[in-house]
Amino acid sequence: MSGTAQSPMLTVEDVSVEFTARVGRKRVPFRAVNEVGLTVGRGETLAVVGESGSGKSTLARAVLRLLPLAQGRVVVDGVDVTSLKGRALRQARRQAQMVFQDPYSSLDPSSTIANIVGEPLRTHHGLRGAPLTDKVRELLVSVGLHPDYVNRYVHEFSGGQRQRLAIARAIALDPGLVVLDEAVSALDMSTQNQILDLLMDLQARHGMSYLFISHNLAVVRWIADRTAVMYLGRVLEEGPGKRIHDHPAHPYTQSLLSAVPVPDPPTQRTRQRIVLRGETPDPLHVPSGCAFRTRCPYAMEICALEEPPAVPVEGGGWAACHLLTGAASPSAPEKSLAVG
Amino acid sequence: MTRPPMTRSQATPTPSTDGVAPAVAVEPVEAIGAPPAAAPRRRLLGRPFVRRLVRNKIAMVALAYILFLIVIAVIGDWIAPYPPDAQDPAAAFLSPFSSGHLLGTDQLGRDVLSRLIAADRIALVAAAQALGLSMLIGIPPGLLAGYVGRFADNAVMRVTDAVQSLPPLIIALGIVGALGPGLSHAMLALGFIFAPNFVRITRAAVLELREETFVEASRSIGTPAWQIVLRRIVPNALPPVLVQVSLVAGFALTAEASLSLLGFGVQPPQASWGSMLGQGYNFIYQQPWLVVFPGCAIALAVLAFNVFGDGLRDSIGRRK
Amino acid sequence: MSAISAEPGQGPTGPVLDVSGLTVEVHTEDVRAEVISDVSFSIGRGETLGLVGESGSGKSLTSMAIMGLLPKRTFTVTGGRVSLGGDDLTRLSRKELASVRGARMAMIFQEPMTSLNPAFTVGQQIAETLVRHKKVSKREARRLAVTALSDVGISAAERRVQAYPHEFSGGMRQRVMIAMALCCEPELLIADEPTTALDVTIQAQVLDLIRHLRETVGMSILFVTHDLGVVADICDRVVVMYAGQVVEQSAVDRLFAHPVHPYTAALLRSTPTNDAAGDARGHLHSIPGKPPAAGEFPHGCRFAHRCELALPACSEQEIELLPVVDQLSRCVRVGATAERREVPA
Repeated sequence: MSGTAQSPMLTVEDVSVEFTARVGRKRVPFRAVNEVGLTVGRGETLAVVGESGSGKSTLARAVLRLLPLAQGRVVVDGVDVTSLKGRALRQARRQAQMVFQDPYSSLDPSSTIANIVGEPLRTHHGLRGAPLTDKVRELLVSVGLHPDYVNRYVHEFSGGQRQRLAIARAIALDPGLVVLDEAVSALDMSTQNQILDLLMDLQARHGMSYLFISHNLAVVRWIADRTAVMYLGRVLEEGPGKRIHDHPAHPYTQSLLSAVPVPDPPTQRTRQRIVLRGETPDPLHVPSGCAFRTRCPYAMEICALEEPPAVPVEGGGWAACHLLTGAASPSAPEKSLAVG
Repeated sequence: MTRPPMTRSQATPTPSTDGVAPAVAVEPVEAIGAPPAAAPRRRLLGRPFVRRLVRNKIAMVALAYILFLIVIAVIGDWIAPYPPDAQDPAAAFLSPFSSGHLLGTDQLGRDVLSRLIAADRIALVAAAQALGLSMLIGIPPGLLAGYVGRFADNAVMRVTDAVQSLPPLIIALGIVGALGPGLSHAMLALGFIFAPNFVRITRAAVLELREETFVEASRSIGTPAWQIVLRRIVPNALPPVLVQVSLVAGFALTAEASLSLLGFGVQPPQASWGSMLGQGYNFIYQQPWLVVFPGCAIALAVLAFNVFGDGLRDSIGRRK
Repeated sequence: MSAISAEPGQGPTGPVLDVSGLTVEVHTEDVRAEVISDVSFSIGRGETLGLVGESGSGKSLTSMAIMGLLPKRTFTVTGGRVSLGGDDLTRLSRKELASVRGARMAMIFQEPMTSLNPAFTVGQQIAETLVRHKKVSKREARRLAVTALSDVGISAAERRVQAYPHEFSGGMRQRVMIAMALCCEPELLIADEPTTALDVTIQAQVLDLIRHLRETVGMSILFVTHDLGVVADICDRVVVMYAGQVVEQSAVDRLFAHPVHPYTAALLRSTPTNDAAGDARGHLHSIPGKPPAAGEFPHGCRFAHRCELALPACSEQEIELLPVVDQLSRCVRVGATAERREVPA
């Protein structure tokens, strides 16, 4: 049962992922992803942005059923994949593929390009030998690599080229959704741009959706149609990419943007910046109420008592913050170097 | 991001990937760049693991000696000066460099050199038998324990622990005692005794490889587990397993020699370095060379396997 | 006496660090090649010099060569001089160099976990440095270690001084490393991509800390990075490296407003934080191709085959680093910048 042309490519509903940590002698469960809901439209790019500990990579893996879900539903192209097993799961995988962060460990060093890029074709369409090689050649061309590379081994390729190979592998089955987990983070700036361009090209040509995970807001603004900001396993703000970049509503998003240094010395020296206090709390001890309140420059009393609701924001999307509900006025932001 | 439909073929100098002038443009897409440089050395020599190994002079000498032993085993029948069983009581206990007998003769006048050559084949065949069996019964459980984990892992490892806690030579003697003497029975016993080595080394390699991103990638593609193990894990687990092969070959040679020396391996009149050593010991006062040559043969062969195994281990190295 | 002095360093006038003509070769089993060619720059007292380049440019190797940390088995300094406060470091014996390191120049790295010893508490490690270089008693060193930790913004320093490195988060470990580096009041701090592995909000904190300490102590900094935003934030002057060579040197404001070398211009254009990084059609600027690897450096200009302004003359002979008003550039088109040329439509 496939979705109609208008239904989203990916729906994540109330998804949580639990891990256990060893504290002393006990094993304590905690949620790396907590009740997250997102959608990605057809042909659209949703960027999920967060720092370490935000749960964004965990979410990406949960969407692809590489990790078990503690709760919630994942629907890909109209198919509820949450509890699929065996053959049905394998079928469903054709629609959702992944590009990983490290181009040096995500490709098998002992196999030829044909076998690596062609693996999806082999597994799902049973292609082998010459027909497989031919199809792989086409894929190589479509990601900007010369088709004669088809019989080489990965160690001959640079980081940027390897990511192209990884992308070729991901699009081999023409999936509706490609999850990119920090796919450009390990690359040089100039190579990053080349790869981003390639991704946008491929999207324009094939119409697939991207779930683009990144810690780098600067990169995301160029590729994202919509952006979601995660912190401690929760989505704090979501909205159109441009709106989030130009008019962030949530204090965390604002501080993220403000923390990125601008390549223009006069501006960078004089701009108003929000430097957060402290560090991201331990996921085993998530603060009550709003998870961000321990570092928020505008924290109020209510922030410790109640989880903030998702408040619609002008320009599109929403932000989970008590400030926006018209509650008590905030105090001025504090700027401090002391670390908790 | 909504972008204008594809009209890129004309336009902007778009990034080419290899920095050289754009060549074949099969589709109106970004310039592809020059074809790859002419295919370099063949697959095997291209891998850094092999290159490092080849540069290791001592390991290459050891490998040469091993190949030499193999060649001798194959052509031995043709190059041996005498049939290994040919007795000549009148010419017993001759010293090396005596006329017609380069390494002398034993108590029955048999040519030592010819017997050494014949024993070479026995040694290698025996080692191959023991190795082959131990790999056959050791590697699959190792793969299972490493990849599947949990109860499979526990079950396999407890059995392995049990087998390894038994003293090897005693067990070999026990099995040979039960089945009767003979080289093949001895090697069967050794196969079981060395299997745990392969279980452990395979399991360790699989445990590490299982966490690799490219294995996760295969899972995300939907490739069935057995294919992942066969195509992604096994080829990458090869280097440490090869090291083990070389080392176990050395152990197997020593074990065969020991068993034969004790009379439980090859039976007379067949020659094995170990049996030659054992018999020669009885005549050590009449002709000490009878002990020296078989002893050296064993030592050199085992040394070669160990040195080559060390060379293999050194050349594995860490990636990047 | 605080662990980190409030007074700017006293010393002779003249640059704190002077690198001239530094050339380094690498020799592994596969390759023997020059990785750093004729690198020269100097850092004045209280100045922060940014050393910028992409991976493979040789910037990290340069900083390691200055500290004398390049493994002798694979790297050889085949030319040039490095002098710290007038003393030629390339002439020092290993022992002498070891006493300079830590005391007069210190280094912080990208991965603090690999430069902190996991088997000792942070207090022990800081104290060890102090005892060795400042010749204080162990008890005094321990007291100074606590002060050093609080100077870098670690609260509850008396308690934290007894913690092990793995008990700290990434940003905190960087602070510990900074404390260790600065506790002996070095003339020069070399920071090799210290914030690259950190979250952006933590990076902002650490950069603020470095800026604050710089003002308090008045030390000079060699800041190695690939991030032009960080350069704009913290550097006074900038040296741009490409394929083992210095290709441009400018004051920081000038570099961004008026880059003289085409590579710098291209780098600026492709920085994603630059609002102009994307053109009207939504494509991102990028530099075609990739940098040459050591051992494959082309003749003449090493950037020529990727440069929009390349001329045949660029590949004919080696190009000198020449002054352009108040900047330095290694380009045949000295004076011309990519800004003035229309990017072909």
